[in-house]
Order: sequence, then C-alpha cells, then structure tokens
Amino acid sequence: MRPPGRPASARRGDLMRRLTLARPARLDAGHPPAVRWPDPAAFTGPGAPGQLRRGQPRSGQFRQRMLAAASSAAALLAVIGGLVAVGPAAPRGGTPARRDSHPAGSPPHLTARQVLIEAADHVRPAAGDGRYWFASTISGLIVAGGTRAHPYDIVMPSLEMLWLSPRSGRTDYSFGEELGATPATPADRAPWRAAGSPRTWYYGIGGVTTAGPTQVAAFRWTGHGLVGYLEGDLSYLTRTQFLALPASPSRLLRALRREARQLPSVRNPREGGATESQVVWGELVQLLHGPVSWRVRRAAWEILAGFGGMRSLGPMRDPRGRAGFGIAGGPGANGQILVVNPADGALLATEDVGTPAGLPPGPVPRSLIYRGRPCQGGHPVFVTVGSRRERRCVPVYFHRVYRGQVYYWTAYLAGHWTDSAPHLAARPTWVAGPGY
Amino acid sequence: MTSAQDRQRFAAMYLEHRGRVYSYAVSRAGRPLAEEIVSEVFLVAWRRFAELPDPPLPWLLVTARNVAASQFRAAVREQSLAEEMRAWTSPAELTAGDVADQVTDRVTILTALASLAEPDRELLTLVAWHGLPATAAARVIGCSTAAYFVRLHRARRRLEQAVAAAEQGSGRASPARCGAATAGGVPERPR
Repeated sequence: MRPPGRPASARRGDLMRRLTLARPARLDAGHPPAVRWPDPAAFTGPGAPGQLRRGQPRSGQFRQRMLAAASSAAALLAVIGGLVAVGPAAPRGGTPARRDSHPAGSPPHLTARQVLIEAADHVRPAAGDGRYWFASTISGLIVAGGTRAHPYDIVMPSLEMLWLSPRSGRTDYSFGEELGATPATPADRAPWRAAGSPRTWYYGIGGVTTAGPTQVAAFRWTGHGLVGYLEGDLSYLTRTQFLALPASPSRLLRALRREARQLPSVRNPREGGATESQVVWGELVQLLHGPVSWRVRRAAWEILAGFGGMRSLGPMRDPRGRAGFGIAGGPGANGQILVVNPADGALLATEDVGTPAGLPPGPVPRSLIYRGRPCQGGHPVFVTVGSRRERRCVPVYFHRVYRGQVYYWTAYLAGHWTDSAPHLAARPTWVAGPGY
Repeated sequence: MTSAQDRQRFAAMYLEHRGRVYSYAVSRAGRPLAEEIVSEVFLVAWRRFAELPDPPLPWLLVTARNVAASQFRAAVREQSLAEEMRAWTSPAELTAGDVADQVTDRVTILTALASLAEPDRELLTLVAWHGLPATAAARVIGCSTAAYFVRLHRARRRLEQAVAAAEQGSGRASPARCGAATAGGVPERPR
C-alpha cells in the first residue's frame, strides 16, 4: 500500500520499483529446497577440486566430489573458523536478536532493498503535534561477566523514557531504570551457574552491576524547546528545525552530509572517531525514530535503500521479541544491524556487532584510550599515536567483543507526540532504588 | 597463494558473495544449474584469487555469466531458464503470502519480463534484483557506464511496453488468475 498522495503512475522509476518487488523468492538460496553450500575449504583445501591444474578434466559427478572434499577438509575448516572467531573468549552466541523463519504477516524472502523500500512505502502519517515528544527505549550493553575458568557474558538492560516539550521554558521529564543484569543468552547460563550464579559483577573500570532492578532515576527540568538530536550531542534541534528537514531523499542526504561535516572527527579524519558516512548513518537512524514528519522518515528509508552494500539477514526478532527483518552492511553502518518492520515502516531496534579483530571497526576513539601502568581493569592494546606504536589500555567491555557478538543494542519502544505528562516529583529529584 | 591467511580471506569472500552469485546464476540459467555454476565460479575464484579485483562481486558475476554460457549447451540452459521463469509465476510461488503482492502485480511484471530478450532481462535484473550499482552492472555486461545507461533506458521502455500490453490484454490480473493462465508456460520471445 502506498502512502496517500503517491499514485503509482505518478512516480518516476515506479516500473523499476515494481520490478524490484517482483523479485522471485526462488532466486534466494534459502528458498526451499535450500542450497547445501560446500564449505569454503572444499575449494581451497588439499585435494579439493580447486587444486586441480587449469584444464585438468573433472569427473561428471562434480557435486559429489565437492561434498566429499568438504567432508575431508572439515578439520581445516574448523581451524579457519577458529581464526575467524578470534576473541578473548570463545563465542557462544551472544546475539539477542534471533533469526526467525516466519514472522507473522511478513514474507520469508526479501532483499535488503526490498525490505527498505517496503518500509518506506508503509510509513504512515502520524500526529505531528502535542505537548511533549515522548520517546521510550530499552538499551542493552553486553559485557564480560564471567571468570577465566567460566567465561560468559551478561547483558545490562536499561529503560529510558523522555517527555520533551517543544516550547522553551516548559518542563521536560525523564525516567530511567536499570533493569538488572542477567546472563546474556541461554548459552551463557550454564557457565554462569558453574561460576556460582553470582548476582554482582564488576566490569571495565570501576563498573558494577547487579541482578534485578537496581536503580531508578527520575528528573524534571526547565527545557529549551529541544525535542531531539541528529547525531550524538552535535546538534539538538527544536520541533521547527526537525519539521524543516527536506522530505526529498537527495536533498535530505545533502543536508545530513552538511551537518556531519560540522563534526571535528569528520573534518580531521586522522584524529580518529566517526567518518562522514558513519555520522550520516547515525543521523538516518536518529531520523527513523525521531520527531520528524512521516515524509522525512520515508525519505530516510529511501536513502538507506539507495545505499550500496546493504544486505538482508532475513527474518529475525529484535531483543524484545518483535518480528522484523535484519538489515546489515552499507556505508557507515560500522557493524550495526537494523531490525526493520517493513509492514509499518518502523525501526524496531539497532544492534552493534563485534568484529573478528576484537575491537569494533574503525579507529579507537581517543576518549576511550587511557594510560595505565599496569593496565589494571582494562585491556592492553597497541595503538598508533602520532608515528609511534604505544601500549595503551581500553576498557575491558570495549575490547571484549568477538565476531558476530551483539555487544550493544537499543530497542525503540515508542516515539510520538502526546499531551500526557508523567506524574513525577515536583522538583528535580533522584529516586534511588536498592543498591543505589 | 595457499597460506592460511589467503584461505581465511577466501572463506570470508565466499561466505559474503555466494548467495548473490547464486541468485544471479538462477536468473541466468535456472535453479537446476545454479549450484553447479556457483561451485565452478568459486573454483575459478580460488585459482585466480590473487588477481581478484576489489570489490570482487562484478568479477564473480562475469565469471558466472561465462560459466553459464560455456559449461552448458545453449539448449539445456534455455530449457532450464524457461522452466525457472514458469516457476516464478506458478500458483505455489504466488500464494506464499508475500507482502510484495500487496503493492504490485508480480505476475504482470514477471510475465512482461519473461517476454523480453535475454540481454534486456539481464540489464534490468542486475539493478532491480541483484542490487548492483550502474558502474558494477556495466562491468558485468562488459560495456561503459554511459552505454549501460543507454541500454538500460531502452530496456525499461521495452519493459514498459510489455507491461502495458500485459495489462491491456488481461486487465490487472490477480495472482490466482495469472497462475492458472501461465500454467502452460511463459511465452519466450523469438530470437
């Protein structure tokens, strides 16, 4: 279904869009009967067909030979797999979002571009006015929680709710709650039990967390009419500024790039930190759940659909169990996965995934590097400082990621205008829970 | 060439691209031949791993194109592809509850696409189905980017005409009607 005012025949390029959406599911290897891929070692291992000299004849039973070669090279593959899965601890899953074969009402096979175009087409007009912009998220940080003998991960989820008034001088509210740490995945529960089922963990530099809800914080303050931001703390914007963003994908992309170039890290890439494409990616993610018009949100999806290198991870559920599609890749994604519900054009969640090198992709932000002799509570890494290689420390949780591990996620629960204010204390206050 | 690091890099490249090479092979030669084509492509890729360009996908697709043309007799490949395109509009494929069905008449598009000549089909699907940017698609086709745009423009016009003809001929056919209507086979354009 198309948004109002966009008749099919009126849009240039509509034919190509229809063709894109008509892509047969049979083109996908996962379409039944699913393809049984030969292992990579079948091409490269000793005795594999890939070792045949050019022009050497092969038997007619090519596939059978491939599969046999794959079996004989299993040990080699295990070595390769081990090399790929480099990390301080053995990977045990650690991905909160789960692959899902059939989320309700969604097609089983869509490419990334199809998912994103679908999402763009299904963004619906929503109320653009109210006393507050209300945003609610739950974020989870996954850190190493075990011992050397019993390594496992824990997830520290926290709830945040914001009520931001578009009028300067009015009261804004926030409410936050640490929901309590737990073993990150079912696979982490066994080593957690083996380690004595601890309920308190120490991580990073001075970090401590406990199981069960621990901290509650409620604030109210006099606001300045700022209802969101585009990227990091670069640019808090008013509702008027958000509404002024262009709804044309090309003009919006130009505006986002302009905004990104204000960041010092973009102007001075050698300093480390986010690149322009990474900042633009972050801006687009902000727009997908921020106080923008539905047309701008649609344009954001269309920009993402136009990026090269996007790939679909297929149906999956977000950390809250909601069904969607996983989208990865693309310029500036920096290992981030988007969990998208194409049926209503909603960004359900973002997930940051670890890389084989241990550190997230990109340069280590200087703010996270500190000197330590010895490197107590941190993890030693070698970084280039000027022209020299130096041993420095980064927080353990920053280093402690491995290939495929989701080490941070955010689930977007709500983002809309409302006239309802929360019932919080009359003065700015902390409401402390047990252990705080 | 055979260092563990090379094998690791090859494995990563294989895992990243095999699905897209497979999709392309299906669209060129049908499912029955696609696995064989993909295997052959990655065998060649390993033998010439040191020469692979970055990004390797256009090279892999060109190789798949060549393998499909050289590995199988033309008659075998065309028969396999014709069966594949019939399957695209079969009732089983069209009743899969696909969201895409809500926004487009897949049968009309696929029938119109099947009526085009193979070069036109390839031009259109490289962009629409395989997600290649124009420069990469031009490399697969083996022409300049400018020439690619000209050919793509012409292919789009021919697809528009074919879609209009399909819509005029049968109205906006429902998937069920078209599934039955195409049971006898998707018409192949005479070459």
